[in-house]
Order: sequence, then structure tokens, then C-alpha cells
Amino acid sequence: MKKFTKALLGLGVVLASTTLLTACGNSNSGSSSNGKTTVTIWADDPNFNVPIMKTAVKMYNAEHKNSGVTFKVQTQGDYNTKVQTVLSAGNKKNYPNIIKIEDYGSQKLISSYQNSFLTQNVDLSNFSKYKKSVVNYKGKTYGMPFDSGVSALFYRKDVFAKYGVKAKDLNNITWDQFMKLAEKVHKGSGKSILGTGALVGEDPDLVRQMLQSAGSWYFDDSGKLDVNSTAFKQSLKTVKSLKDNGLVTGYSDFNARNKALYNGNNLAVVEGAWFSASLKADKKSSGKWGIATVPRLTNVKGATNSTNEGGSSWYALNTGNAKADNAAKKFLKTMFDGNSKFYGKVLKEQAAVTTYKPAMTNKEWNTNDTFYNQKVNQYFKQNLNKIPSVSYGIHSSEVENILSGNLNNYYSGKTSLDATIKKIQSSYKSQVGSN
Amino acid sequence: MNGVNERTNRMGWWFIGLSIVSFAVFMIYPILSSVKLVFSSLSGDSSTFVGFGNFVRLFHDTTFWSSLGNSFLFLVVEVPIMLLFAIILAVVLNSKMLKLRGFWRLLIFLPCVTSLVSYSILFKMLFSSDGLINKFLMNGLHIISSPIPWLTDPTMAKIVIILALLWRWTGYNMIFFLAGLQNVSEEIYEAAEIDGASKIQQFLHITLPALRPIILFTAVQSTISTLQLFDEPMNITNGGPANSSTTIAMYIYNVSFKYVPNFGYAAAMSYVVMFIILILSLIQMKVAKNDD
Amino acid sequence: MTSSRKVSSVLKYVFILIMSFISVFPFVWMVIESTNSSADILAGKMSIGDQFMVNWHNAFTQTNLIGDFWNSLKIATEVTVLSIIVASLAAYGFQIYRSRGKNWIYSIFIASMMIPFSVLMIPLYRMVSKLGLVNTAWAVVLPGIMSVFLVFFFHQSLETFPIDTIESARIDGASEIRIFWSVVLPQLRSTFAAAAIYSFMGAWNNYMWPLIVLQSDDQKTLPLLISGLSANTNFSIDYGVIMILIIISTIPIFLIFLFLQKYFVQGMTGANKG
Repeated sequence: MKKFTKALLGLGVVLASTTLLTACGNSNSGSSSNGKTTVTIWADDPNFNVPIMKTAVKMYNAEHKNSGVTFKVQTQGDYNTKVQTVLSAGNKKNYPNIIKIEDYGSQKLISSYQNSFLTQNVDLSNFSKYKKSVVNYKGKTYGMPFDSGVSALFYRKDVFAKYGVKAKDLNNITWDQFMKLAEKVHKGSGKSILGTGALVGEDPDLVRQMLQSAGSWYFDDSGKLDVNSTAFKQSLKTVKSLKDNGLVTGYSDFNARNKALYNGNNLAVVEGAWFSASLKADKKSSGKWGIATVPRLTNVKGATNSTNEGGSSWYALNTGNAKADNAAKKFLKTMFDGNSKFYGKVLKEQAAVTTYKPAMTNKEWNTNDTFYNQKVNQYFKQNLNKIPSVSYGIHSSEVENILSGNLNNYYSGKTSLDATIKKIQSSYKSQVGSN
Repeated sequence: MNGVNERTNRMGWWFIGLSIVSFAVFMIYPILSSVKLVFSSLSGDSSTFVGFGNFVRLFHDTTFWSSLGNSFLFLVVEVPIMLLFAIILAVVLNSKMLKLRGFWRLLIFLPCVTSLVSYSILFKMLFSSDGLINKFLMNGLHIISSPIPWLTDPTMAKIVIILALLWRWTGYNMIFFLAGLQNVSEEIYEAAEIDGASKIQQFLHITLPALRPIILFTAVQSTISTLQLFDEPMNITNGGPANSSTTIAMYIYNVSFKYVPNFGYAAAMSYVVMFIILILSLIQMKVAKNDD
Repeated sequence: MTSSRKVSSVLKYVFILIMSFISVFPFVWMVIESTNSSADILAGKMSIGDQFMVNWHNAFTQTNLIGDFWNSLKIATEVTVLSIIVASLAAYGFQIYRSRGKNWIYSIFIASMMIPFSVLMIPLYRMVSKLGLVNTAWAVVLPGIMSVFLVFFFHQSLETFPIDTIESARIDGASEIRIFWSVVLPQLRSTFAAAAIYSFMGAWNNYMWPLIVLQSDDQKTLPLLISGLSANTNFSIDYGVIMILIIISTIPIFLIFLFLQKYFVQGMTGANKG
């Protein structure tokens, strides 16, 4: 025992001294020591935005050999928590130079930490128009638009065909028409049609996509809660009738749903373009899947068959180090608002559906996707520019948290539509408060 | 006093100096800076003084109350069950007649060695709708015909969290009771045996009273940690479905990191929780004293 | 009499067997699944497969396992050693040299256990960042060296410490620090062992704070590695690799507990006298 204590003590001293030594040699991100400037980039998806950024860095370095700038791409877990902690601590020296922010959360972060963001020089006419309201705040551009979650209806075309539903039947239809077709497949196969990555009523994915397809959101243009709109009501009604007819099933999480999709218990899904990667992970189902446009809401003015789920943009932070800040901005401008070759490469390698229009002439956008045996990217490209532009506001997370309890009550028939909306309004008021 | 003179008494300050310094730096300073927050609405960069505004807002915030309610539910249901199991396990594992005591103790304590991250991944997989638990209940025991929606039903989600807590922390508390039992001499039990007291009577009249200080200690410790419960609901159910397993600590986290960040409001809620813990601990200590 | 004894003894074993099974089952399951491919794990396969070497190989080649293991070990050992030194000295000061001022400070220490960590996180981060420690192991180690629980723990064990031995050492002319080192310390061996296990376990499994302050991949600890691989944003989680990582992250504490178990229970005994 005594030996153990001594050994532990000794080990501790040795380790403490090694830490001390390494700590001294560590320089923080964004700082420039001995003339070298470091630009730190944060991303969160090791299969998507991290390798994409690495590609961008590699291509940029090849063209700017003597820039004297080192780029570091770091993968961060629990991304949003981390970004908010770092921003709220307010020590600019510890800011990364470039961060990825999900489009739904961008207005929230920019409005909260406006002084920490750098404005960027972006030609927004180069990008899909719906991105403008995401990266702009009070008339200034803070973000470099990046990927899109342009949505599609992914469906098992083999099973649908078996019950007489062809590809052309599914394109540009309303939800009412879709339900009639889905009913046939559901009755025939006995399988559930749409799957959601959380419980229906828990995860507002479907509602979110329906709202945007009609150019609507939880808020009006002035940022006030707007759940009394026809689009919102119609979205809820649509999900309820999908649920009442057994056409939609909710799973505990994404993995559970993916499993159901892989083993054929679920036949379709409405998701952003990025979802394709999950389907392709199941190699043996190659050739069985197809994509079609997302159905549009019935009886809603401005309803379209194009919408969006997810997507993100890049933001440069004000680290107080002019050299690094400028290098970060220059890097973003050069690669993301000017380099079509880069976009072609990441489309091919990471299937990144991006919003930079000049790059859409790349031949990768028009090639046949063998997994679907369809020109999938071409479909995305055409729909990208049709996505209605909406302002996501700053309180979307709060609203969605409130929805999760209340929608369930409505879908299960416990509360009427009007009562549900009243409840959402009062909960919102009590939670967001006057502050 | 221990008969220590003034000089050596002053020596004592040297011993606690190191802890006071680190406590001041890593506790007092952050606490003081957070107290300032309580009276302001700090959203990101901008801060405005709101006086008691945060407390008024909190009073009307239904989400605050419902998540506080969830925390209390976990406290009231889980802690007594856990402590009861821990005591019974300790008594059994303390029995001289039990063979391989060390081995059994190790097995019971094992769940404590897993990290939160690891065990929440395991629990999420085990309790998924087509996970092993459902398969076992359906195909192994044949007690249910369709899978139990463990993670997708509001009541079941709470039960999963409670099961996870029980699994992880019962062995931990058991160790404290086991240690406490080392102080109870065998002779008392032998005497009781001769007097014809049954095992249950012995447990109620000898074991429990002897363990009272430890029951108090573990109860206070469990109260503190259950009211701060965050990791399990965050990682296993993510607070869902329909916020049914959102605890107050999770709501505070959401207000700081998920919603429009308002650290002032989050700090105000944290202090309310702290106040509740303080009151509860005092009550527990008072009850324990009165029983004497 | 003897037959009822037998029944109760059988019941005892049945009870212990069931409880142990529940305790151990997830571990057994974890080990079994580590031999299966990710797809088989998802499909709920419950038999030993042949993918162990593949998973093992992937765990070492696709992740920074060795580096992160070393980071975890380094941080946990430092926190353990430093926090035990700080806490044992403090508890000794509070218990042996009682005075009104010290009692007050001790009460403040204890009360601070009730403050939720979420309230301290932002100010603490702000401070660590001002000190320039972000993304260094020190950012994790320094806030960890003051453990109020450990102070309390040592304080309780010292409650029954025979003061006479200290008194007689004083009469012999030993200095106060010498008394602590050569009279008190050897007597409290098992308390130290229990505190070491407790402290190491906490530091080894710590998640939230390291997540916030450690940023570059080469500084990460094992829990951060595991949670990063199983994050929601990751659409192709390799559960086989995750099983291996969980097993590897469990082994050190398992071993420590295995070898120090006897002292652990003994050490806790002291802490229980209240």
C-alpha cells in the first residue's frame, strides 16, 4: 500500500511537470507568433464539413504557397454548447477564426454576439436566394452561405411501383394527392410510409419543411410569433391526417429510423439533401430508392413543392488579430465565393449540395446517380433556387420545444387545433417572457 | 477544544491555506460573478439591469415549473428505492456466511466505474424499441406481445431514466452502507438472536438505527445530485418525449446554450435550485436529529 | 431452525445472483457486441461474432485512441494526486486545529456543494480563458484540485483520529507538518486509497468541463472521443469501434478498484462516522 501511494505520488509529479512543459509550448488559436498567422476553423461533422474544410484548405494552400498562414481544422463535439460558451466568455483571443453555424440558429447567435462577428464581403447574388435572410442581420452580411438542406421525398420506388405508384405520379402533387397514393401502398404492403427521426409531434421536422414550402415560419417578418397563419394550421392538419391514416411513424431517434428504412419497415422519408448519405450507407438497397418533389400544402397561398431542412453557413469571428481575421475572410471569399472547382470536388466526394450558383454548371450536377438511377443532383439544383425565403428568427428552439408537448396532444385528438394554438401562444409568452 | 495552544492553532491556517486559495479562485470568484448576473438580463454581448425581473419571469414560466416537477419526481421515486436496495445489498454482502464476498461486492459496484458517456450509449441501445430489453421481454420471457416504447412514451422515458440511475448509483451507495456496517459489532446480533429476534426485527431495530448517520449522508448527497440531474436525461432521452424527462438542470442548460442565451435568467434559476437543495438538506438533517 | 437458515441462505444467494446479473449484464453485452460489426450490433445480434480484431484495429487506426488515453490518464492522475494533497491537508487543519473562523470556512465549503455547476461554467470559462489556459490540460486540472467532497471525506475520517498520538508527538518535539506526514498519514492509508479511487473515477469520467475547455483533437480525453464518435451529427456511427473504446475506457478504473477494493471499503468506514 505504501509503495502504491509513493508510486502514485511520483507518477503525479512526473505528469504534472510534463503538462507544465507542454502548456508553455501551446499557443492559442488565432494568435500569431514569430510572424506566422494561424487560422482555426471549427466544424462538427467528421464525415461532412470537416473533410470539406480540409479540402478547401488544401486547395487554398496550393494556390497561396507563401501566404504565411497556417489553417487548422478542428472537430468539435457538442458543437452549439461549445460555440456559445466561447462566444459568451468574450475573450477574443480564444475565439476560433471561422465557425460553422446551422442556418436555423444563425440569427440567434449573430443578434446575441453581434460584436464578435466580422462582416464578410459576399456577392449574395451568387447564392440561392433563400440564403440571404440567413446570413444577413440588420442589413449587413455576416455569413458565407454554404450547404443547403434542399428537401426531397425519398421513397422505395420498387415497393411503390408494385402497388401502382409511378415516379411521375409523385412529382409536383399536393399532400392530399400524396395521401391517396400512399394509402394504396400502405394497404397493400402493410408497411408504414413516412418515417420521422423522432416521435411525430416531438420532432417538428415535417412541420418545419411544410411551413417553409409555403414561405412561412413560426414568426412573421417582424419576429413576432405567428402560429395563427393558414400555413401553420394547414401543416398541423396535414400531419394529423397522415398520422390518423397510419401513413407516418415516429422513431426514438435517427438511428432507429434508419434501421427501419434499411430493413424495409418504412418506405419513405421527407428530408434534406444530406439525408442521401444515410440511405447510401446501406449498400444492398442500391437501385431500390427514388426521389421526388416534396408534396405541397393544399389551400395555402404561395404553397410550393420546394423546401429545405437544415443547411449551414460559415462565419468569421472577430479575434482582435487583424492579420488572422483578414486571412480568414480572404480564405472564405476565395474558396467559397469564387472557386467552382472546389464545389465540384466536394459535390463528388462528400455529396455536398451547396448553394453557389456559378458552380452549378459543373458536370457533377448533371450526372446520373447510380444508387437511385436518377439524376439526383440535377433535381436538387433545380429546386434549390425555388426554395421560398423565410426569416428563421431568433427563438426557433424555444418554439420547437413548446411544440413538442402541444403537437402531440393535437395529433392524438386530446386538444382541438384552436386550443393547441392558444396553448402554444401562452406557453411562448410565459417562457420567452418580456426579457 | 483539543487542548491546542494559540501557536499551533495558528499553524492550522497553513494546512487549510492551499484549499482556501483554490476555493477562492475556482469557486468564490465564479460565484460572485454569477451573482451579478442574477439581477441582469445578459443576452450574449448586451447586459441590462433588471432587478428582480428574472425571478418574476421565472415565477410565470410554466416550463421552469414542469421541469422542476420532473426533477422532484426523480428525487422522490428514485432515491428511496436506491437507498433501500443499497442497504439490503450491504447487509447481504456483509454477511460472514456469504462465500466470495469480495467478488460479489466487485460485481455490484461495477456499474460505478463506467463513464456517463459510455453507459448512456449502452442504455439507449438496450432500451430502443427493438433493443435487447424488449427482445428479452417478448421472446425470452413472453410477458409482453408488442415492444414497450421505452424511449418514446412519456411515462416509460421517466422509468428508463430511473432504471439507469438505479443501475449506476445503487452500488455506489452500497459501499457507504457496507462501510457503516463495519462499525456494528457481531455480538449485538448474536445477543438478539438468543433473545429470539427474527432477521427482519434485527434489521429494523439494530441495523437501520446503526446506519442512520449514513442514511442521512447518502440521502443528502443523493438529493443534491438528483436535483442537479443533467447527464442521464440529456444523453439517454434528450429530455423527451414532450419534455417529460426534462429536468431543471437541463432547462437551465437550454436557456444558456440552446435558446437565445440568457445567462442572467439561467443564473437566477440556478440559485432557486440551490435554495431548494439547501432547504431540503436542512429538513433532512432536522428530521434525522429529531428521531434521536 | 437449520432448515429456515438454509432457506434464507439460498434466498441470499438468489438475490445476490440476480443483482449481480443486472449489474454485470451491460458489460457482458458490451464485450459480446465488440466482436460484431456495427450493422450486426444495430440489428441486435446477441452472439459472439468474428469482428473483434477488425473493430480493435479500427479503434486504434481511425481514432486518436492512444493519445486520448494518455491525456485522460495524465489529467486523472494529476487531479487525483493534487486534490488529495489539498483536501487531506485542509481536513487536517479544520479537524485538528479547530477554531471558530475555521468552522465558518468549513461550513461555507460544505454549502458550496449545493451550487449547480451550470451556474459556474461561464464565469469559470471566462477566467480560464483570461489565464490563457484554454485548450491545455491545466484548464481541466486546476479547477479539479479543490474537491469539497474530499475535504469532507477526510474531515469525517479524522473525527475519530486518536488526538493523543498527535499530542505525544508534539511533546517529543516533532514539527506540525512532520506529525502530519509521519504520524497521521500512515494511519489513514485506507482513507487515502478510497479518496484516490473516488477522485480518479470522477476525473477519468469527467465530461462537460473538458468538453468546453479542450478544443484541439490532440488534447481530448476518452469521454470526449467516445461522445464525438456517437454524436447525432454522425450519420454512420461505427458501434463496433465504440464498444471497443468503452471497454478500454472502463478497464483502468476497473483495475484500480479491483486492487484497492479492500482499502476502499475500509476507507469509506471513516467517512461514515458523523
